Formats: sequence, C-alpha cells, structure tokens
Amino acid sequence: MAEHEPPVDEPELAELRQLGQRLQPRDVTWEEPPARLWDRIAAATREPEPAAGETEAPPSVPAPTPITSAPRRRRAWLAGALAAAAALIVAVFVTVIRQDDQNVVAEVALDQLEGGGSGRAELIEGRDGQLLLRVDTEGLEPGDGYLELWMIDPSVTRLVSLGHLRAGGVYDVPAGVTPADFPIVDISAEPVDGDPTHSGRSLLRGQLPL
Amino acid sequence: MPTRQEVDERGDAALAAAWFAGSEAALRQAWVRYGTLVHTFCVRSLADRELAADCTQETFISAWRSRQRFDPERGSLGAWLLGIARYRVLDAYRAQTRTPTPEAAADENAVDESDTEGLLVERLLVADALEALAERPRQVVELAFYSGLSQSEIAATLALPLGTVKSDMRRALHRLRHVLEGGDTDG
Repeated sequence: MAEHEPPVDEPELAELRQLGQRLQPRDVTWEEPPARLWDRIAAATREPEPAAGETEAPPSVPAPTPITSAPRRRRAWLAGALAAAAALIVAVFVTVIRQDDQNVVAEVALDQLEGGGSGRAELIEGRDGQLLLRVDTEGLEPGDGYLELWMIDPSVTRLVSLGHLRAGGVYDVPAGVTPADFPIVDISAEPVDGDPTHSGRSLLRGQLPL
Repeated sequence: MPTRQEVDERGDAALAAAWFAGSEAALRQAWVRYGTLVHTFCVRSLADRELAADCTQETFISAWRSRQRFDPERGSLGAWLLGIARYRVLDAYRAQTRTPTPEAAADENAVDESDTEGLLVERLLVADALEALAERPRQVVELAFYSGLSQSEIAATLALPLGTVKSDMRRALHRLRHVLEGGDTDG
C-alpha cells in the first residue's frame, strides 16, 4: 500500500483512504446463508401455513408495498399522530349494522406483531354510503392500558385513530378519510399516560387490499 | 432472486421504510439484501457453522419482532441488523462458555472482544456498501481506499473528469457514513 502524506486539501479522499486502510474491506469473503434458513425465518414470523412438504423454493410473499416517499423525520410521524388525535374526537360511536345493509369492500387477516392475539378487519360500505371498519379480535392483552385502532398510510408516516378497541366493534371511517390512502389497519397497546399518539407497540396489523 | 448489487441506494432507503412499516414483503427483501451480510458476520464471529446458521436465523426473527425499534432516520438497516447479530453472537458465546470446546477456544475469531466485533461490523458494512455502488464510483472509491493516488491521479487513471471523481467521492463518503450509523459499532 502506498503511504503518501494525507492530502489535507482533499479531505474526502483523506477520509476514504483512512477508512480503507483501517477496515480493509477487500479482505471480506462473503458467506451465503443456507437456503433452509429463510424457510425457518418465514415460518417463525408468520402464522403457520398449510403443510407444503419439503421445498427449496421460498414461500410466496405478497408484492412489496410501494413506498412512494422517502422516510420522513420521526417528528413528522408524531405530528401525524397528533393530527390523528383530532380524528379521535370526531370519531363517531358504534353504528349497529345489519347483514343485509352492508357490502364488504375489502377484508384482511391481521398479522400478529406482538403478544398472542389474532384478528381480522373488514371495510364495509353501508347502504347509506358510510364506510365502516369492522374489527374482530381474539386474545389481545392490553396490559395496564387499553387497545386502540388506527388506519395508517403505506409509508407509516400518517395515521388516523378510530378510537379505543371495543369487543365486536364497528367503527365509522371518518368522512374525508379515503381508506385507500390509509389501508393499514393497526391495533396498538396504549398506556394510560394521556399521550394521544401511537405508542409504537402494535399488536396486530394488516393491510386492506385496496 | 435479485442480487445485493441490484439493490441501489434508493432501494435501500425504500426497503428501510418498508421494514419500518412492517410490510411482510420487507422481511423477504431484507433477507435477500442483508442475509449474506448477517450470515458472514455470524460465521466470522462464531467457530461453528451450525451456531452461525442459528445466529443468522435468530437475528432476522428477533429483528422482525422488534422492527418498530428500527428508525430509518438514525442509520442503515444493515447496521441495525448487525447490531442485533452482535447480541446473538454474545448469547452463543455464553452458551459456549458453559460447554467450551478446544476448537472454539483456539479460533481467534471466537474471542469475545468488542473491538474485534466492532471492526468486523464496520468492515462488512463498508464492503457491502462498496458492492452496492455502481461500477464507476466503486472504482473511484477502491482507488481512494488503497492506491495512495491523489484525486487528479485517480481521475487520470480512470480517464474521468476531476469533477466526476470528486463528486463520486463525496457521494460515496456520505453513503458510507450513513451505512456505518445505526448499529452498535465502535466507529
């Protein structure tokens, strides 16, 4: 290796050279992970799939959620959550709907992110055109706090609270909220701390196919 | 399956955002993008291939379960994953200590020394980032790393305008700094 004087007038070159000399990244020989590991990771992070026998091919996964915007600052996320608090206030209480009054627009089984619960969500259009979200859950543990229902945009920078979770709850989608813009249904565990923002502890989550 | 090289910088940012969003496809993408990085770290840190495979597997599983702790603003997903892998390696060390083997003790890679680990993390992150660069900036950075040439000499060697060499270096350095952030590295 050549050992010239550090080029003080070329600080970028100097920093790169120092990095290369210190780390010697060209000495790296990569180790491919065994293919079987993916199967185990997929199995451990998803609800069990029907037995498919031994296969080399990875289980199919849905197409990646298109991310159209660069990740925003955490503050923007929190600001979105604060805005969601306003939505909470206008969230309308339960509307009981009858089977023959509704049209299921989209439904999704919610993935378990934390804890042992399960659930599903349905977006329903009532006869009057009002959009409703029906959420059924099982086995969720609110801990010392309560559970809250959210609709979140695909980049998880904006979110709308639909209020605290109720057994067999049906929730009005607030007027002005387009579900396709907030297709992710999320149930979080919230501490009773008076903070209206999302706690960051999501128990269940799923994306409505809209 | 796409190679790591096919995932460019913008792809890394999108993947980091999708990961944070908890998109299930993001786990698969992260595996494609960073599986080799994590596995190489585990293999170099642990003497035993089976232990290394467990380390890689557990890293991805626990990373996915705590994915909301990843903040794309604070660093790269690769560095964050290696930060988790370091804990898995420590767990494996502790298990090995209970049943020490001469092979493991004799392997210098198995020495629990945080400096060694931190250096390895940085070396792998930089090597990985280098491979993700397009060919021209990669050549520029490799010459900057190893040749001892000045910027104008590098420009002459690669028959590039000096301004191109300078901007490639600036961008690469910005990228490498970002890549090295966010993990439990010692840099």
